[in-house]
Amino acid sequence: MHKFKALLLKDFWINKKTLLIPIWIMAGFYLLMIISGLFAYFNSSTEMNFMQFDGLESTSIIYYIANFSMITLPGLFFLLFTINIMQSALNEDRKQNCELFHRSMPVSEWHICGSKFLVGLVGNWAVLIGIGIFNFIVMNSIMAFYLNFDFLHAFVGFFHSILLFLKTGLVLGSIAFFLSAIFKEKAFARGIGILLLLWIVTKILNAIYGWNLPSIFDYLIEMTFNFQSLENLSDSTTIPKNVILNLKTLYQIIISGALFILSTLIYKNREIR
Amino acid sequence: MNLIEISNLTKKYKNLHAVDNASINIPEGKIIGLLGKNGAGKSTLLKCMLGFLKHEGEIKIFGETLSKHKSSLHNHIAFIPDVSSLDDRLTVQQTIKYVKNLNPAWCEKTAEKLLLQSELPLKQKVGNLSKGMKTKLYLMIILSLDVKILLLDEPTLGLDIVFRKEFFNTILGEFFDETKTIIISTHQVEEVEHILQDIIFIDKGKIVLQESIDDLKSKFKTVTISSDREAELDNALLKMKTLGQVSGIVSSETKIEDAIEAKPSLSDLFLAIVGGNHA
Repeated sequence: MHKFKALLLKDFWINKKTLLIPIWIMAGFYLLMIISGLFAYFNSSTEMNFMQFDGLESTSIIYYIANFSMITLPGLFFLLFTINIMQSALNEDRKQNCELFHRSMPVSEWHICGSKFLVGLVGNWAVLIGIGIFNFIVMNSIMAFYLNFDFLHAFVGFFHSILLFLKTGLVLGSIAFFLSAIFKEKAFARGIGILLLLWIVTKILNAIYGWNLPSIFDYLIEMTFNFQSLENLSDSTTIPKNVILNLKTLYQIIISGALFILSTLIYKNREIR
Repeated sequence: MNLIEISNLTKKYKNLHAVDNASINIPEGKIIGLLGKNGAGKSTLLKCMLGFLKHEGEIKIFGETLSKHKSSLHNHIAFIPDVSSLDDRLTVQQTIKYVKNLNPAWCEKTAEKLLLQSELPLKQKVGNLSKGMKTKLYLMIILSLDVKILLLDEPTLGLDIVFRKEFFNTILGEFFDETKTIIISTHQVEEVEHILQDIIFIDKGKIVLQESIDDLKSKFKTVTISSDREAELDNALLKMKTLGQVSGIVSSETKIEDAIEAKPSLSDLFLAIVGGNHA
């Protein structure tokens, strides 16, 4: 465990800058919002009405949708940066010419890969959750001035959205990690390119010969994204069933685990030059 | 007792035999020089010894057959590759802390002593260090490990002459004892000659010679005669002409009248046995 901690710390040091980029982008975004708000406030000749929600019977859906949507932008950054870190996870040492140094340490490949996987994935998760919580506090504080605060639906919207992104990130990150074990450069683009090509070939063959060949690309899309979880949007009781405790979540975890194991086995058998 | 036993080791890169049917034994408690020209297969041989490269033939380390890389091996073996392969993204301090936390063979007392000598800027990124400083850091880290076998592949590349001398004359001597084995692959053979006990010559992937330095030197001698008697050295393994004189490496039993005799240097012996114009 002591060795694993050392690896985690090393991988965190190496990826710290990349992990923190979404925070800087969001900080820039906030700064821009404040500047534009102040600019509009001081330059507007008419009285501004920021929000008008008179006559609303329930504010639940507004709180739900607002909190659900506010995760979208940091969520997209999260997915991009997860792919970015994970697609080079098993190649970066080689590119940096330091693979011999790291592999000359008495630590198993399972620990090395486990640490890279965790830092790439959990590090990005932590950043997304951090940004999400900050957004949650800021946005709901502002909204509470105009609408009766509905903590339950605000939280459910936030929680629902963040869980969907975390799960998507888990599968996408694992695919990128696996591709980094196979391809030396631009692993994700190459892997997805090949899968797309296979998808097109499968579609053509199915269309010409009337076959029903399954497409791995379709399967991965279905496993990665969580479209059906958007049913019964603001019903807080459906969250556990639709988002967490369902068969698809289990499949996603199994796929990620299997991809991690395969990646490590490939990594273990690589020559170190 | 042999710490490393290598039999019929072959490593091919497509059609090139980087190591060709090599068989050597590395005993305990020796400082061994691995000498060969550029591209002779020295680095490949060392990497095969650690299981980094897939190979044919058998490698036994501490009596255990090594078919592929085993991380547990590094509890007892430390390695410096020929290119500075430290992680440029870490600072000097982070690199030291990383190895210290990861490697149970780390000896804090030795590390502190070496760190003091090396004057390394702890807060600086490794990537910003000069080549010589990187090599110093690598040496400092590796020599802080209390391991049985030390594999050094061109360990002093980029170092200034003062530190190179200090390294070979003092620092390495402090690390070495009769329970440890050091294998040094280097081009600067003159600098290590005095500390080596055994020598391995490698050429075109083949092991040409493995012998103790004393035995090797006792088999040959350098003789110097005037240039007008050059014909007497026609059977010499190596002839070197200087102003008005000619020297040759000959068998120690060879008798040449009025010749100045001396012990041959390792680099001359290498040239005599392996051939070529550089080692």
